[in-house]
Amino acid sequence: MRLGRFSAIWVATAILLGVSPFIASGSLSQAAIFSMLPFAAILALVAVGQTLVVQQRGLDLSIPGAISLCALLVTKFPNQSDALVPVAIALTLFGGAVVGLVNGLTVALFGVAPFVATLGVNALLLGFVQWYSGGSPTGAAGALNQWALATTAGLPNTVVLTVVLIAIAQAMLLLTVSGRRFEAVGDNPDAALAAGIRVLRYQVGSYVLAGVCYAIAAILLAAFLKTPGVFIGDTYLLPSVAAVVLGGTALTGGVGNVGASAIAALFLTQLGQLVLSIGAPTAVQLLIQSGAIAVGMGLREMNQSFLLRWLRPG
Amino acid sequence: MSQPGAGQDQDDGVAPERAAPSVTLRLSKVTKRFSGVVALKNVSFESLAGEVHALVGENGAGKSTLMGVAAGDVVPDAGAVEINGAMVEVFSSANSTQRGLALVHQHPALLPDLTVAENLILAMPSAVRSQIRGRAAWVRERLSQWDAEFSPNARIKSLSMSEQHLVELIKATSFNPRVLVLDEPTEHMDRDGIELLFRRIRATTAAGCTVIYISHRIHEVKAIADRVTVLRDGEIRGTFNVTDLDVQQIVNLVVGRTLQSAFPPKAAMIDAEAEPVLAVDRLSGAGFNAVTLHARRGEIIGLAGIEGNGQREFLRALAGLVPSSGQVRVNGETRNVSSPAESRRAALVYVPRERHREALMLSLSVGKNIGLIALARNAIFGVIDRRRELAEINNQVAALSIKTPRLETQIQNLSGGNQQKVVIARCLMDQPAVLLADEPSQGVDAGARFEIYTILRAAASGGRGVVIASADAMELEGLCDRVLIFSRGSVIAELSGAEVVERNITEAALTATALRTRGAAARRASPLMSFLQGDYAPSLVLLVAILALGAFASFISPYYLTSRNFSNMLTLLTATTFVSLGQLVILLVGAIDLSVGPLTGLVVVVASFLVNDGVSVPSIVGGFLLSLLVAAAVGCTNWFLTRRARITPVIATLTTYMGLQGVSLLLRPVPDGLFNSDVAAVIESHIGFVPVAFLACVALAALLEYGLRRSRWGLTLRAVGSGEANARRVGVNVGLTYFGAFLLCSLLTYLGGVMLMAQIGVGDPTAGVNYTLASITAVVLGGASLFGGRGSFVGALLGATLIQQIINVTTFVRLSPAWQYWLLGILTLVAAILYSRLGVQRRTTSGS
Repeated sequence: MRLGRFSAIWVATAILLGVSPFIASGSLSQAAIFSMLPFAAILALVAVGQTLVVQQRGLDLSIPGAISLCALLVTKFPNQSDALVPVAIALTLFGGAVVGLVNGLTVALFGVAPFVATLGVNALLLGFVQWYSGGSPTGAAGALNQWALATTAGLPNTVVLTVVLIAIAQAMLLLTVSGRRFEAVGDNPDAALAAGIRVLRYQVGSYVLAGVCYAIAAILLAAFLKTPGVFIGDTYLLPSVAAVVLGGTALTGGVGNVGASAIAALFLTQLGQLVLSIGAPTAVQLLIQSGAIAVGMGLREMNQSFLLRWLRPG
Repeated sequence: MSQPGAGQDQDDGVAPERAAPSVTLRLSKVTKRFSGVVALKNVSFESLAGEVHALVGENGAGKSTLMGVAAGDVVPDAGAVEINGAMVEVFSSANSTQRGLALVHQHPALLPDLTVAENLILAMPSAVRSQIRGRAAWVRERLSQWDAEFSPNARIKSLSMSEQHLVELIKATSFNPRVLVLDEPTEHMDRDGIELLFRRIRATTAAGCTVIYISHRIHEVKAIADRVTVLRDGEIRGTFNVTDLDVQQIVNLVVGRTLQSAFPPKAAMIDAEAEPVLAVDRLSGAGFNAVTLHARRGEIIGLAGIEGNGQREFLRALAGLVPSSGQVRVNGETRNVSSPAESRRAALVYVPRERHREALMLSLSVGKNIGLIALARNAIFGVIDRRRELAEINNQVAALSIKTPRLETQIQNLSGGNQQKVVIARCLMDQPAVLLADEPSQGVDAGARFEIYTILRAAASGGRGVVIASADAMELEGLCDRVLIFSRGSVIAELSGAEVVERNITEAALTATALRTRGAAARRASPLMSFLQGDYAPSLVLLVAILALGAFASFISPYYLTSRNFSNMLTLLTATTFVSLGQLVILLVGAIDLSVGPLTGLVVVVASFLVNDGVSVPSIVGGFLLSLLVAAAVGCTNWFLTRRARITPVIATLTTYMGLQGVSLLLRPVPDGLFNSDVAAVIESHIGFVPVAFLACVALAALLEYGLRRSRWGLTLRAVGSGEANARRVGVNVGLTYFGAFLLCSLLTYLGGVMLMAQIGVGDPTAGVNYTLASITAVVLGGASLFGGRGSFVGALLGATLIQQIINVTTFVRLSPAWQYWLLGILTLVAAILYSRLGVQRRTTSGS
């Protein structure tokens, strides 16, 4: 039996979770899972944002700046005051959207290659981080931190929120007019234009939505870590790309699945934890992530050529 | 690779009249299928030395495919090719060129970022190239033979379409081919151009060469050709002496008397008084002028004309894809067609001509493709009512008898005919007032073709207006109630009722003597514009910015203008510059290398284990060699990932980026390993206040710049970046060029690493990371195109200098460190946006 494009990662994740206890006993205990899940949730949100951009044939390299800045906004603006948390959250979400808007307009309207546009924007964002933070981090307000550590129905709040958000995003993409058009524009913008779809709106929109995803991820990150490092976003760029690739979204745009990217985030996080628990240094994570992309892409390529041969016998 | 078959038995019946002229090109029993559709059926063809041999036939008759086989561009399924008496074993354009066959493509195989002279030189086989003494004089002589009015140094993309065709022609004749194939050469020429072409053709054949002349224009064939071969539906219909036939007879042969495939009956009676469903009044736009058209319900209107006379542009304007002015009324109401979305709202839907490029979402399912346009019709508050949508899609599938295993099947697995039916179904599902279709039956087999005609007829009799553009006169005769014939953007004739017959349509199109006027070609960029688009404008701007910043800083602080500051700055600058030079090499071939930063760091880390104080000389040499090997290995890895594993360069090098950083951190979790101070002193030695390394760096940049402009290496580098496919067509070894570029980039980055090593003096695993952005910013500032093909090493040097200057000046002005980020980011974005604005021209001229 052949696995579907987006179901392979579910199977791989199940296998990984299944073998975890044999590699490091206790790696499937409730404590271990509960300490891993919030990180998986945060990465999942970032990966969903990256997936949306990739579906529009883009690539977002502004993730380090966007996440660092958003984490800074939600901690530094209220400056430990619980009362200001709602305003800070609204401000952070707005900030994420603005970052996406700048990215999207630079790419879609001015025709700059996505990676250069987002690399440039990333530098601007890191400038803001440097300027606003003065180089030192601020702690999150107590209420935010308590919320992140609390549970709902036995699951960490961060995880519950993430699952709900991703379910909504997945439903929007699958069931709505906009979702279907979004997919079509990503697959073939020229054809979408000829079919009367307002292509620019969807292309810019993907970056804006991605920006909001990063903002939410940053809020959860700040809430969970209490005092996020100033350049906390640096560690999220490559795993987000790895999650997109492993999830099965085509880098050529169009077909994508945010749910599969989220599961791939869980896979990567668990794999990372597992490696750390057997005593490997942190740097190995980087090797695993880059290896995952290379293997994921390689398999995909092999699969395609296999498919082509299979479709055209002789 | 398919074999040229067993067609050794030459000469099937058609013996040459005389024995004297030798056969220059012989194709025997050539057969070629494209995804099941037969393009050439057992075709045998031969041409003689000293003749002009015309090849005529309707669109899709197989002329271009046949000559593609001869030129090695198309590998036949069966049959043999013989050029100048030698059998062709391997089908490649380089091989055919070497045997003395030159094909002037209908779409020029030119590299838009290279100049005229560079394109000519690049395409010459090495045998010809080696004989050229004095490049400039050689090129000038070629151009003057053809009365070319453009400069040899003009960039191809600044030329008009007709000028580009002339360059292609000059290129093909420059290596003195024995067989010269011209594919529709006069399509973009004016009268003077055609006369000159004919003079040159006569001179060529007088020298004993063969010219094979593919054309639609029978008058031209009569004027220039000695013999004519007629192709129809992929088969040869005979070879004749041109003097034996008149224009009418040739037209008859081209059209043929094949049994007409059945067409659905036409509309019985159209109510001429009824309000037109579509009324277009004096619509004008690029390519067409003041076109008026009134379409009534139940009527199918055809747009005809020789390719490029405005009929397609007119149709696209109605679809909102081409800007237009004039009045468009749908069902009596004035509507806006300023964008495809507006046209759709006006109930005008469009079936594009190029199915794969502009119609299908290839990775999506059949169902999603059919439902695309009418999505909102079956939605409540934006949520799709799946059941209703599915019912409608199934209706369309049944009504149009689309053959698909399931609705979830990917569209790319359907046959061409079924794909086309999906596109039409998508349009009909939106209940349009008017269906606009460009070549609705192109690339579709005969059976499906009839079904499509029936569908279009049914749409018309169901009360819609139908307007189609087609190059197939027989199709127009069978399908249309009225046909408008376009010439030079205007409607020159309208046929209706019994006049709509193939012969009238073909005759009107073939005998139209419409000639293009030269006016449009006179457009030239202003001197300022051409300077701004040149290679060195960015360098000049950078130089001014660097000097201005310097003047500003020296005004602010007395310490800026000190040899100590300059010495420092130049040392720091050297590392950035080396890495930027490497990045530029990669950018020139149209790729990108994000891993240069971490590689710089890894070079430092690796060396930090061996190049320490108090170690032996072999250890030091070994340290440098080992890190050099590491750099080379990284270059090979990047090449492997992008070219062999076919991962896009951004992702591939991002992967190596992280991998390298991981390796560095594993080797040196914290900075450690002090460098040998004597070695560092040598690397950082000075002449006066100028670091020797900086001088070396400048010399290297100058050398690379010279190589880029003057050497074969530079030419191929830019050619590959400017257009990989065309570069391959003119014989460039694309794979090798890529490999060399990745390797060179890594070696230059290695030099950057050596400089960094001396500067920081310790194995710091994260020291190099910032060089990635810095190098990209530097080369983009220096005017390199992110799409490849253009750039300047001097520009990269100046770009790196500006970055260093900014960092230097911000410290003197005591700006917050945030400014370094901001200035870098703003510079990158502004340079990229400016370049993409200036580069817009490229996309519009080369996009076909």
